[in-house]
Amino acid sequence: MTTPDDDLRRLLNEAVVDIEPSPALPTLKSRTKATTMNRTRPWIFAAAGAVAATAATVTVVALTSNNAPGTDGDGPAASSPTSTATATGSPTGSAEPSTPATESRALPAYFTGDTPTGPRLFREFVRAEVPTGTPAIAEAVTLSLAGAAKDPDYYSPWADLGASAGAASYEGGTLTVDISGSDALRDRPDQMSKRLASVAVQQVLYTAQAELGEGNDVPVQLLLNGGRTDTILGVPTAEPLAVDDPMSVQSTVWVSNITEGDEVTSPFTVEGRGAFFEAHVAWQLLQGGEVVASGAGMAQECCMLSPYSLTITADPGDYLLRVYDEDMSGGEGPGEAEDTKNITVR
Amino acid sequence: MIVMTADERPRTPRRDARTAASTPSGAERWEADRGLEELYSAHYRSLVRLSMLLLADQESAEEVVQDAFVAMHRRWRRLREPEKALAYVRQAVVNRSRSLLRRRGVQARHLVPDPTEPRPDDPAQAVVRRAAVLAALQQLPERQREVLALRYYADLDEAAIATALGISRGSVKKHASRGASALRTLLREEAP
Repeated sequence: MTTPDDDLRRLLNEAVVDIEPSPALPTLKSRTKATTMNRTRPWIFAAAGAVAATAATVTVVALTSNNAPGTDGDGPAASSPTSTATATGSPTGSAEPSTPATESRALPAYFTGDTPTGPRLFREFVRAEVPTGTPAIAEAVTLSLAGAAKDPDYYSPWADLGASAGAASYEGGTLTVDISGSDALRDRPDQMSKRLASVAVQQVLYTAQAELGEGNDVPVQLLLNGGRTDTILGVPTAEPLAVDDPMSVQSTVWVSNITEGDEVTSPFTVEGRGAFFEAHVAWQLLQGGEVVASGAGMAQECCMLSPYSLTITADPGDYLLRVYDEDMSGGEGPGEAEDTKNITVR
Repeated sequence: MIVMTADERPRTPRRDARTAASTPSGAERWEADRGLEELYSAHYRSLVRLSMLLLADQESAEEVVQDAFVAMHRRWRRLREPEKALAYVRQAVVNRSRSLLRRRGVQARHLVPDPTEPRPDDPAQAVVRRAAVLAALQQLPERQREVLALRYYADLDEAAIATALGISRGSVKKHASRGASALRTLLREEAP
């Protein structure tokens, strides 16, 4: 007797039955050997050794953003990252005797964007050359601090402050991230609002947690130039910090699977998450500021951060994709939260 | 070379494992290596196949699973029990496959083996059908694809899928039924 689901079970099994992976045990053994050695002294050294490489990568990312189609070059992405290159010392300073293997990987980095409810966090995956087999937390945080996002709507409140992440370690359930830069980073700059300073610190916490990959419950101890400090940007940092609730500090609309400047083939899928009134996910395609197509989909849940997926069909061309929480209040609400991406439909 | 039988291996309860975590010993490292080898021989192939269902690309699938194994080895002190290690690796495979897909961007979604070029030693029809299944999976929303792969290939129950994906059991149900019906529709459309 067969149940209705047996056909799917059979189809999925058949689809991969002749996939024979090549033997990987030797590779795995050599990759874990390195990790094990680092682990006797936690991987702080691995991270520190890689910082020089990161600094170089940050520069490359900045150049790429500058030339990317759809980026005007004036955006925050291009303005600052090179300043971090000097903050981490020469490659010979902390490098391990044997150069660790590296890989090109996209690191999760959080950035700040302006929303109707003030500055909030957005996330972008930024490609960088990082050591294989260990979390590249210092690298990810440095990219976040530098504001190395492709999306010109995203920036880093840290970008002009000359900060980078010197090292990171994870021990005893606490993640420690050491920020390098001027001692003036203790205090909140005059032109920075309290809210923005708080978001700036959250940007670091979320980035570090995301790259570690152990969830958002891991407390993060921030250091400044290798030591504990009462405040960073005026935010108390003497104790390990927890992240603020995503609803209060992250943008309530995110596009996750499309990055600024991406080329897509129609029909294409837009995925992300957000808190939408009545779970109504509105989208538009704009050309020269004019809406040329629009529609809506449903998020999985209403009013809380929840995933959505849209399928959009469009003629070839360059568009600004806008996903937003449509204002149904007749203008009484704070405004429409949105995430926008310049895309090319092929 | 040290040889220990399975029974001699220290069986430390979870809490003790945490205390021990601050002082990694040679024995612990050995245990992690041993755990990795056991998991490799029992599950490597099926995990690559699971990732293949999510990615439709064997090379990426192998990379994703290797990365997951390395991550598991690093966290061995907290995992210890083989069952937990397998659950951890499986979850890591799904998460890493997802990030890879997102990084690849939507334009690569339809990258699937060309069914018109069957490998010479394969009955052509089966190859076409397999490619069609992989292609159809790629067209499903991320969560539906993951739920279908975990349910029908990895044989996980609803609760285990919910844990692996960090979503509610209700969502698992919803994705499973939508995914199953979408997949059936897609395959019907593509059938000759």
